[in-house]
This record gives sequence, C-alpha cells and structure tokens, in this order.
Amino acid sequence: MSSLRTATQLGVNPADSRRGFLQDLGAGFGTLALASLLDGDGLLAAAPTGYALAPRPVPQPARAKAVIQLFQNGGVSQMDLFDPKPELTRRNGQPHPSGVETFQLNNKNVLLASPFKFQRHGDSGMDFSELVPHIATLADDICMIRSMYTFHNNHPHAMHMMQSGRISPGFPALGGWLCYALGSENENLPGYVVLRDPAGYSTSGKLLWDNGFMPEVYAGTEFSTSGTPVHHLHPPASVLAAARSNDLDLLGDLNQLHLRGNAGNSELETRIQNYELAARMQLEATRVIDVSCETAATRTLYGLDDPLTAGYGNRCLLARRLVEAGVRYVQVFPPLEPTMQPWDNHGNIEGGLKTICPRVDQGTAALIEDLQQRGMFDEVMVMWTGEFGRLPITEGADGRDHNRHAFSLFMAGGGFKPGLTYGATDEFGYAAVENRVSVHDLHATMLNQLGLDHTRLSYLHNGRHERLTDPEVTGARIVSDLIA
Amino acid sequence: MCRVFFIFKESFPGFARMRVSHEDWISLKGEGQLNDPFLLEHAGHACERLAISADLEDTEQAIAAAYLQILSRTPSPAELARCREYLAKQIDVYRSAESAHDAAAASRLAVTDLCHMLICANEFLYLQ
Repeated sequence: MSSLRTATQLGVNPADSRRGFLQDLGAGFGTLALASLLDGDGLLAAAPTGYALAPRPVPQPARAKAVIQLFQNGGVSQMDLFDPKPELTRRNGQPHPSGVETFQLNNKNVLLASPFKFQRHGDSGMDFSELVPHIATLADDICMIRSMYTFHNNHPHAMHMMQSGRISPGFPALGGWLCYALGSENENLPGYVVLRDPAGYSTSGKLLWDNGFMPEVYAGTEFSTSGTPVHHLHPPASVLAAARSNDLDLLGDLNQLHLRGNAGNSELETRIQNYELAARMQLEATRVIDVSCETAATRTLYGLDDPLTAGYGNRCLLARRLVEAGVRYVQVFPPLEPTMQPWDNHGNIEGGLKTICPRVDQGTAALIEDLQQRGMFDEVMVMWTGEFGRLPITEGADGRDHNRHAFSLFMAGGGFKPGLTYGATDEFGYAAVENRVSVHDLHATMLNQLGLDHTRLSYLHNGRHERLTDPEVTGARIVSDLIA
Repeated sequence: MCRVFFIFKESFPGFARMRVSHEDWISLKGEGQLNDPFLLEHAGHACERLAISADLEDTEQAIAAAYLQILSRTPSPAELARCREYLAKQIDVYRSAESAHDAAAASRLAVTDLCHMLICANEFLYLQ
C-alpha cells in the first residue's frame, strides 16, 4: 500500500521502507543467523523476513522440536514420591549418622520416614508412592532421574539454576535459549509461553522467564488460561479496523525513525517486533486457548470437570495445544496450594503433599497420554521437575527442609529412555551418589535432543560468548545413558 | 501515576520485577498499550487540551502542538509529513464510516488517535 510513498516522503531510499528496514535489522540482532522460512507451510509463508522468531534450521539431528516444562516449584520431596528409602523407614526417629546441610534453623538431626506407601509399576518396575497414582501408570513411558543435584538450597537461586543454569537472575531461561536457537514454528504466537496459576507467582515472579541479556522477544510471555489470553489483546469495539491499520502504520514509521537515532538498541527493535506479533496474535492466541472444541473424553482425561484438578489440568491441556500450534517452549506452573511454593513442605509433610499431589497428578499423566495418542510424544519433550529436593530429617515436628544434594525429576518423550530409572541416592535419600546428574548436564542433554550442541550454542554479551551450560566452568556433559 | 507505570512496566526493568496483581501482569508489551482503555481515555484528554490552544483542523498546527505536549519537542520535517498523511487518512476513515458528522468532529477523532500513537511510541517510553 503506502509504504513506498511513505518512504519517499520521509526522504529515504524507497527500498528502505518500513518493512525493508525491518529486514535489514538482521544484523542488529547480533549473532542471529536468520534462516529462510519454511517453504510450503501456509502458516509461515507470510512471516516477515528478519523476524527474530523465524524458524531456523537445526544444526544436528534432533529428536524433539518442542518442550513442555512442568515446573513443580517449592522442592519436591523425592523420598515421598519417587525414591523409596527402606532404611529411612527402618531407622525412623534415629539420628542421621553424619548430619546434613540444612537451610532452616529448626531442624532436628532425626530421620523422618515417609508416611506414604510405595509400589512398583509397569514392566519397568519403576517405584512410585501412593500420592501419584496417575503418573505411576506411565512407569514404562517416562525416564526417572533420581540422582539430580543442584548448587543452592534456597528457592530463587535454585529455580534460576533450573531455568537458566545460573543461581542469579539476569540470564536467559532455557525457553529463551531455544527460541533464540530454533525460532518458533508459528509466527502468530510467542515462542515461549508461560502458564501459571492465576492466583499468583512463585517467589521469583516473572524473573524466572526473563530474557536476561537477550532481546526481549526471547522472554516468556504469560498467557491467561481463560478468556482473553493476553490482556487488551483486542481493540475496543469503538476502534475502526481501517483507523487501527493506519495507527499501526504510523506507529511503525515513527518507531523506525526513532530507532535510526538509537541503532543497535535491541529493546527498541524488539518492541517493534512485539507490536507486530501482538497484532498477529489476536486471532491465533484466542483460538489456541479456546478448549471448547476438545472432546468430552479429553476434558475427562485432564480432569477439567473436577474443581480439584481443573486448574492445572487446563494448563496442561493448553500446553499441548500450544506446542501443537508450533510454540517452542511452554512452561506450566502448579496450583498455589497449600502455599505459593506448593511443594515447600517445611511442616506437615503428609498434609502438604496430600494437598498438592492430587492437583497435579492427573493433569501431568493426561498430558503425556494425550501426546502419545496424538503421535506427538517423540517430538515433544516433557520435563517434570522442581528446583531441589528435601531432607530425610525432621524439620519442626513433621516437615522436611530444602536439600540441594539430591532430587528426583522425570523426562518423557523427546528420545529420553522410557521406563528407565537412572542414578541413586544414599540409603536415606540425602545425596545423589550414583550416576550423578547436574542441572547443567540435564540442560546439555536436553539441547542435544533438540539438535543443539551445548558447547557451541552461544550469545555474545559484553565480549563473552555466553552459553546456557558454560561447560568449561560447570563441566556440563551429555548424559548418553538417558538417551534412547 | 501508578497506573501509568503498570501499563508501561515492560519498559522499566526494575519495576517489572515487582509483584502485582494477575491482571496487571497479563499484557503483551505493545498491544496491551495500544488497546488499554486508560491510554485511550488519556489520548482523548490530551486532544482536549490541544483544542484549547490549537486549531485541530489545521493539521500542521495540531501535529506541532501534539508533539510539544507529548514529546516535549517539535516534529522533524519527515515526521510532520508522515503525520500529515496519517491525519488525512484518519479523517477520511471517520468521514466515510460516518463516525463523525462534520469535518471538525473527524479532525478531533484523528488528532486523538495521533495523541494515542505518540503516547505508544517508543520515544515516549525511552529517554535519550
């Protein structure tokens, strides 16, 4: 339409139109190597060249193309869910022989047995406690890692570690790294979407999905889980479509003129792209979060008709719909019950776990089962994890304190070995002692499954090629035993 | 003032780290600002203030006054030309859609839109 005339009026080369200028911004995004758009895909045919989330070729063979992270913040108690410890039961009430590292001050060095019964499930014989009967049905489908360890025993630091490989904020999250490396497969949606309980945030709030030193387009975007996915996504009814179209053209031109005086400012570049993405999102995002088209069987599978399971189940279902639509990374947070850190059972471990487990068990299992039924299981990697584990000793009367030395998590799909129980903790579950896996090892392995070399994936920042795993410092390695 | 910070929170890194209500968080950068009723309302107020001292049907005068009020400077020749083109288009839209019963009303709607776009522009959010 008027872009060439506008460019002339602005006194610039007609080839340097608003769109052309955006195309030229490739260099402004530093080290991004923007690939050609996928041919033959109608959805992508209209994607603007130079778009920071344009899909990029995978440098090496990939087993997965998307990730759903089910982040169980608070510190899941490994010896009460996934890692049975008969010796802990046998020596309940006795002192821990060597003492343990604690975080809170009201710990007694007294061993506390799990109040829950364990049972082996499936052909693999994977152990689960009675708290997670739905997840237990997936014993032959998931890859359980019992020997995880991390580097800090406070929530914010450990959550940042799981998110970004660093204990401090200011670094991009894994989801941002994947969008930077791979782009997104749907130009009408963000590459990294966050789904949390509408009731609030974890202790680190929005920092968990921060873009750090990368452009803002690589930050996680929160979607509301009902109604309008993003606040004020649609113009008020009084705004005429033709008038809004003129608005956007003007705004784009004014921002481009402003950018010329601030060359290389990635925040400004990203804001321009965000305006364009937001405009394209109006239809697509609303369509994706509308679960009314799902079958009754699917609603039942995710527990959407039960108030206890509906919230988290809905977020799990939305996660499936988002990756189905081409979103690269979806992060799901649990219900904020009994507390904003729902797995943080400093007291009443039995009551706390009985509150949170039924709320996440069914939705988690439903997601994996649904992905399998739809043939998406191989291409979508599911990660169920907290930020650290809990201690085998008693805090207060009946709680457990934070533990950075051992925790359990499971991976599913994306080429992780199904039915594998990997690694082991000591006799009480305090420390990972066999086949230890660090958070950086896990990140390296995940990147490998997504077709990325963790030693080479880097972003130049302040003269340093920053990497998610920083392998020379952390010793990160691909854990090949975990890969099918 | 607080409401303004919430709307533009994405542009204030320190502020974006504060914990606020659910609704305040769920906005996507640009579009949230474009469609926020608060900003639409205040664009109208800005236009009302302009009308006190400027003839809104004189597009050059209206543009210059809007820049001075919102961005504290006069527009460059390129900006002036672009905004003049924009106002002409907006006036046509409002006249053909019969949103405005006469030229003065159409000009007022168009200048309100111009104020809105200047408030949403990156320059309004980023100090140099």
